[in-house]
Amino acid sequence: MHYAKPLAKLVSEFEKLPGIGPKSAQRLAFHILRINEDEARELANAVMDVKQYIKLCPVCFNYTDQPRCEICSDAKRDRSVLCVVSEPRDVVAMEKTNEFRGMYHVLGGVISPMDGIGPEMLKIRELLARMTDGEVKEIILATNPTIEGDTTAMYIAGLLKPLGVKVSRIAHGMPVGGDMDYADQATLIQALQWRREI
Amino acid sequence: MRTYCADSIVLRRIDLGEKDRIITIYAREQGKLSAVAKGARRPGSKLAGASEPLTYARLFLSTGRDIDVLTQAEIRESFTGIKQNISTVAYGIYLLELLSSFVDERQPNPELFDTLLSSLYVLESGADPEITARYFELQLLIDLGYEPHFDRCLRCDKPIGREKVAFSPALGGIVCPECGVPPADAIWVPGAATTYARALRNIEPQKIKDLKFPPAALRDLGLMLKWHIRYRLEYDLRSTDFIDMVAKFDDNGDLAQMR
Repeated sequence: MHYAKPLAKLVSEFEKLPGIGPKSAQRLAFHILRINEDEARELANAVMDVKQYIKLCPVCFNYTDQPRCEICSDAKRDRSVLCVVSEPRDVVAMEKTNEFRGMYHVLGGVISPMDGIGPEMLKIRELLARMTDGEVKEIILATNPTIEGDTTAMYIAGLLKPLGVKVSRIAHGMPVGGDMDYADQATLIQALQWRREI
Repeated sequence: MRTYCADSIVLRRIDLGEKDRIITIYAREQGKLSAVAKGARRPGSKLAGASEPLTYARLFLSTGRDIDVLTQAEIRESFTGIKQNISTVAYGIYLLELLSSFVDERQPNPELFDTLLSSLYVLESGADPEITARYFELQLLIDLGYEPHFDRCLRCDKPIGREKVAFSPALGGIVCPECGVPPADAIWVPGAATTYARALRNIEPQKIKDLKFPPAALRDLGLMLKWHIRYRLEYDLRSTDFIDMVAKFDDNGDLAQMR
């Protein structure tokens, strides 16, 4: 299909977004054409604002528009417990629980040997630097229970344990509301291994 | 839409969209192929565990227009023993990457499938991961017709002894010191290392656990095979860097010395 040049440009820009194919890109571009100018400008400004103002917090590497993120600046948070996650969206997921009152450290990915992502490409050196003042007493490794997430957790645990800090891993096993009958063997094995006394 | 069942080892997976994954599997009867596991990233998905690399499963697939679709999975072995140690994980991933690099899509090779599966069981059993990797490398090269010649000098046919010899990936084997200047790509190694290659060529997988190799011989054998594989593939495997990195960890998975 032949679009007018500006429309073709918009479609091709949408196509670059993750999970957006040619059809979805076309639908979004036509939607932009239909909305009024103020709405379009708001969208454009929102895109530019995140690029201009959102930076990584220099302490935990979560996204923030402040010199330090809200969590790192909060004096009421427990600085002796550090939860290590792979992506900023994992901080959002943990915060939604309202259960965890400690600090975070965002690695910016996980170790993936087949994809050539090694530990030096993650914020692991920066995590070790946070250990130097002795304030952190426990590290909770909250990477995904995938082979990459587990490998990353084992690697970090190997670095931290000689420092004498308590290192724990989030529990694995049956999801809440799950059905034993439908659980796969890998999940059930994990559930048995990580069982706890009640 | 045709449906079929495939005894498979999951080689790798990538995320697709919000909830899906694309997995690359090595199936005993179908060879290497890709399939989409719909909803595999949803919590509690029945396909989540079976779409993890280093999993041996009986997969039920249906042929799609562009890509096959994983519909059901029955895990046979999730190799939790391998996955609980950083060193064995590194070697396990290396075996998968090595096989994936050498085989083409939809080229079934049941013998090679069985070799990979038995090598993974050997790793799971607690055998030396480095010896297991050398075993798999050799068996894979033999199976695909790239076996390096370790028995005799390729120029004079003299049996290899303990003296230093030149290993040339381009020639595909050993040149003894009496046969003049070796090819430019050759590396010098003690002849003793070739003895261990011969030992690994004919061994039953279940006996690998009892093997003990001198560290220097194992290193030399690893070097020869690494050069040979690099020559064949024309690139280095990514997972080897990670193996080098985790070599600094001790048996408990702790880094002995802080960097």
